[in-house]
Amino acid sequence: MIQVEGISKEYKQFTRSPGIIGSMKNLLSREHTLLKAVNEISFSIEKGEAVGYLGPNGAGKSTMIKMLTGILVPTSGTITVNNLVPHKHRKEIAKKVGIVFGQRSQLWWDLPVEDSFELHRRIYNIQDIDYRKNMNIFLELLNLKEFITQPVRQLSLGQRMRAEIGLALLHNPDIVFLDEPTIGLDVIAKDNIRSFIKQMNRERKVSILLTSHDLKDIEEICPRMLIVNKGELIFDGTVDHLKSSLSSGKIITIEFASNPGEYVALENAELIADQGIRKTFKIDKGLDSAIDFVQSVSKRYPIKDFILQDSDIEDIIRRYYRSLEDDNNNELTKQERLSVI
Amino acid sequence: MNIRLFSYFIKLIIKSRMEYRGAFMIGAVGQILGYAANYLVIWLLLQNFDTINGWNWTEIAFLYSLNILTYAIGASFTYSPMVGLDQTIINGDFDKYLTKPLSPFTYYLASLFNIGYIAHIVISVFVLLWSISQVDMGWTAVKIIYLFLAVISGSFLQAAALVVIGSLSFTFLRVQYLFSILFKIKEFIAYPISIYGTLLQLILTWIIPLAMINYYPSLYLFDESILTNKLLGIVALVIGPLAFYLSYKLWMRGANKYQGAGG
Repeated sequence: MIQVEGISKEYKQFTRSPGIIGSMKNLLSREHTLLKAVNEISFSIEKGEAVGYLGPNGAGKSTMIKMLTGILVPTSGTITVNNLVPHKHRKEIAKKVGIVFGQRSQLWWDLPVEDSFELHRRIYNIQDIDYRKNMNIFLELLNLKEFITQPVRQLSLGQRMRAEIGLALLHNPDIVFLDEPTIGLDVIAKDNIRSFIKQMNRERKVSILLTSHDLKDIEEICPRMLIVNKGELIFDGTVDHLKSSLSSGKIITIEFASNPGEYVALENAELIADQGIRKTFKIDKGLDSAIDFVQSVSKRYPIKDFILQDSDIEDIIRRYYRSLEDDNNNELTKQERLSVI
Repeated sequence: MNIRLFSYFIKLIIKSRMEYRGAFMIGAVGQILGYAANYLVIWLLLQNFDTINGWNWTEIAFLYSLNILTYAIGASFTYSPMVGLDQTIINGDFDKYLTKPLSPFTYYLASLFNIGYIAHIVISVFVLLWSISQVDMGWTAVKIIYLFLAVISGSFLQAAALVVIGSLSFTFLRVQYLFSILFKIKEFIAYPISIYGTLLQLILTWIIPLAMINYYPSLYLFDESILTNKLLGIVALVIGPLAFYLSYKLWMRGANKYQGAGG
C-alpha cells in the first residue's frame, strides 16, 4: 500500500548573521545550510495496518506526511502510495487518501458542519448511497448529530475534531493520515476519537499513519510504531518489542523501618533517589529478580512497605532519545555548509 | 473543477458572508460612496475644462466605468486569493489546497471568491448605462457584441495582473508592495492615455497593456475613425484571456516550486 525507499528531504535554511552589520551582510550574500528534515528513511505499510509515527518536535514527521500525500516532492528516494508516485499523481492519490491535520481545519468556520460535508461530497463526487451510509455511521459513532447544524465557530475543540475526522473518512479512503489528531483535547474526547479510529481501521481495513505526541494514542491505535529522530528512522517494530528491548528495568521504592544509611547492600541495583527511610532503586532484570531483591534487602533491614513500578512507555522513549543524544554529542554535526552568493 | 462545483463554493461564500450581513452592507455602502466620490472628482475637473484631450464628461465616465466594472469582475475571482497568498504560504495553510483531487489554482480561487465587489459592479454598471444613454454611439449588433467581449477580456486582464503578482509570492514570500505599485499604475487608465507622453502610451499599450482594458475598446465604440490602428481594437478582445492563461501557467510553476522547496 505504501512503499518508502531511501527517502530524503532537504530544506535550504538561510543562516542569519547577528547584529545590524550581520543583517546588512546577509542582504548581499546569503549563506545557507542544508537541513536534512528526512534522511534516508525506508519502510512499508500494508493494507489495513495502523502505524504510529513518532518523534520529537522537528524530527521530520510532518515533512514525511507531506511527501506521502504529494504536497512536497522528496529530494531523493522513491515513494509509492497505491502504486502511484504521490507528487506526480497528486489528484488520484487525493481520492484514495484522507488527511487530518490537528492544527489546521478543513471545515468552513462560519457555516454549519453539514455544509462542509456537502462540499466534500461534491469535491469527491461521492455517490448518494455511499454518502448517506457514511453520514448515518458518523452521526452515530462520532455523535455528529448533536452539532451538525451548528456553525463550526460555535463548536468545542473536541466536537470540531470529530467533525474533521468524519470529513477525512467521508470518501471511503484506503489510507488516512492523522497529524496530531488529539492535540489539545481532554481525556474523554481523546478516548472517543481513538476508539473511532480503531473501529474504522478494524472494520473498513483503512490503513492508518498517525503522528502524535501523546503516546497513548499510538499505544491504543497502532500495533506498530516507527520512531524518527533528527530525520532518521531509529526504530521500526511493535510497541511490545520496544518495551521489552528497552525497559527491562524496574523501579522499586522501599520504605524502611529505620534509615539503613547511604550504603545499603546492593546487588544489580542502582540507588536513584534517597529520602532517608524511603529509597528508590532501579534494577535491571525482570520481575523475579525484583522480588529476590526485596527479599534479600528485607533480610538485612526491616522493611515497612515497598512499591514496584514498571517504567511506562513515555519514560522508555525519553530515555531512548537521551541515549541517542549522548551518542551524537560525541560526533560533529553532520550538516553540510554551502555558500551561495 | 466544473462550474457546478465552483458555484457551490460561491453559494457557501455568500452564506458565510451573510452571517455578518451588517458588516457586509456597511462595506458595500462604503465602496459605493468611495467610487461615487471618484466620479465626482472627475466630474468637477470637467466642469472647468469641458473636455480632456477631446473627451467630454460622459465619455470619460464610460471609460472609467469600463475600468471599474472589469476590475470588479476580475478581482472577485483573484483579488483575495492573490493578495493573501504570501501570508497563506507563510502560515503553512497553502498545503490544504494540495490535498484535494482538484487543481490547486481553481480550488484556491473558488475558496476565496470575494462577493464584496458587487458594490463596484452596481455603481459601474449604473454609470456605464447612463453614459451610453447620453452619447450617441450608433449602436449596431456588432458593437453590442464588441462591448460584451471587451468586458470579458478586460476582466481577464485585470484578474491576470493580480495573478502574476500573486505567483511571485512563491518565490519572494512577501509581495504586498508590488500590489501597491500595480494599483498606482492602474490610476493612469482612469483618463484617456492620449494625454500622456508617447513613451508612457507605448508602455501602457504594449508592456503593461492596461490601455487594452478600457482605452482602445472605448475608442472603437465611440468613433472607429479615431482608432487609426484597427488591430488594437481586436487585440483588446484577445489579450485578456491570453494574459490570464499565461498568468495561470506562471502561478502553477510557482506552486510546483513550492512543492519542491517546501515553503
